[in-house]
Amino acid sequence: MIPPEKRDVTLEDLLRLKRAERPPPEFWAKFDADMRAKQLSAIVGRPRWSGVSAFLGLLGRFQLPIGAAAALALTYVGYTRFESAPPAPVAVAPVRSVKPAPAASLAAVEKPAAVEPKPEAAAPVSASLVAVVPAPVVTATSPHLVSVPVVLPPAAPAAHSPFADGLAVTLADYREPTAAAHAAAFGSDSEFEIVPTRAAAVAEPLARMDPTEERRSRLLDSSLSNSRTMVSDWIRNRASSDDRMAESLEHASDHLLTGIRF
Amino acid sequence: MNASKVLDKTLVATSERKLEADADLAVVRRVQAGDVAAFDSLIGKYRERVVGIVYNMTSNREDAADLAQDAFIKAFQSIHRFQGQSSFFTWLYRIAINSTLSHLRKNRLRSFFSLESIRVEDPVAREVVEALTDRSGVGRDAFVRELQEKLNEAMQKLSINHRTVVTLFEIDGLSHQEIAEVMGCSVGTVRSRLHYAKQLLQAELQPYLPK
Repeated sequence: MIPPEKRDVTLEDLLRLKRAERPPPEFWAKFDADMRAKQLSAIVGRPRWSGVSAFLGLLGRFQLPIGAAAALALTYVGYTRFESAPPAPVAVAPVRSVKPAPAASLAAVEKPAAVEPKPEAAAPVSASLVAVVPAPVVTATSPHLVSVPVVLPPAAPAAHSPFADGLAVTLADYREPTAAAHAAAFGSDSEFEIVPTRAAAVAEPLARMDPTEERRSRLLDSSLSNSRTMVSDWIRNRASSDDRMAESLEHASDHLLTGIRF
Repeated sequence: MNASKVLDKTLVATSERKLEADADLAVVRRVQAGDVAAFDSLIGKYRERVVGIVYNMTSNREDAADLAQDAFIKAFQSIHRFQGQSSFFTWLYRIAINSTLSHLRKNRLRSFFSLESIRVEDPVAREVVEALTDRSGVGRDAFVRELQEKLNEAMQKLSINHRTVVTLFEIDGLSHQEIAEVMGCSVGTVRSRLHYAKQLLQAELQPYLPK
């Protein structure tokens, strides 16, 4: 402990003692040697890909923001391309379609404002100017049905949405089992049938074809061919069986006649 | 140390630092031009001060040597980015102190003291030691060793920022403005930290100080 008469030292004086703490000379020799080695390794030993690894390490720190930005950019690009894509031109063929009653009109359901068939639109129109509503085509042979091609005026590209097409198809699929209701509304079940089609481009021969006859003939053909095959096989088997039975009877009778001799 | 002494010290240090900064900038320009060997003169000029700063912050000789070497290597690798807006020694000190602070934060729970011996032939140290011990010199070495350990313990009880301020101001002799530039804080913060650190050291070293 310090003698009482020596207590005239300040804190700054004590801290000055720290300045006098110096390493021995051999410490500096080792320090210089290590310093030289580190300096050389820093000059020579830096690989060329150290910058790349540092960049990747920097990217690794920002994985979440970069991923979110990439997802956002992809979403934006996809949205803009999807929105700016013009509707695919559809070749307009003269379609013998039927305007159904308002209660059964699928076109009216999907686009109530756009579907307004005009009589003058039945004339041939350029494919690039019109868009055909993908409404279910009701083909029929009844005289009270009118052949009206459903043609829309050229719509703005932004107003046409492919979702509407998909919705129409979905509605058509949904309404297909309710053919009985349509039959009740039109009076007869055998005169026409609803055939939902995705695109409205229907060729003329197909439009004139009666699908009920075609289906009946197709079903009957397959059924008759199957039944004919089955009958012929049965007859062939039966005949062979009868032949074998007759032969065995004859053979047995021969043995019986030859065996019993009086 | 009263206010006038502090002001004189600051002014002298400022003028000396200005001359040093100009000389250092010329050497730095040579290194940037491709004269790699010129950087050795900067190492030789600042190695003792950098090692001294790091040693007083870590109280470990080996850590001080490694951290000082790393600071010189970092300065050498990024010398092309030095534009001369601050003095070279301020820039170098900042690199060394940042490396030391990072090291101390990583090894907060590990502390191994390896103390250097106090050179009694230093005039300032001799004056202090003679004032604290008997003129006959009996038991002087043991007392100096005990005082050195107490000083290091008191320094290690300070927070890292307070320890850095005390080291730069009281041991290395930097001004408040230079410490603020090195540590990246305001001059008022430096003064506040210095005042608080001295209060703590005063309390820790009370047995060696007059009442």
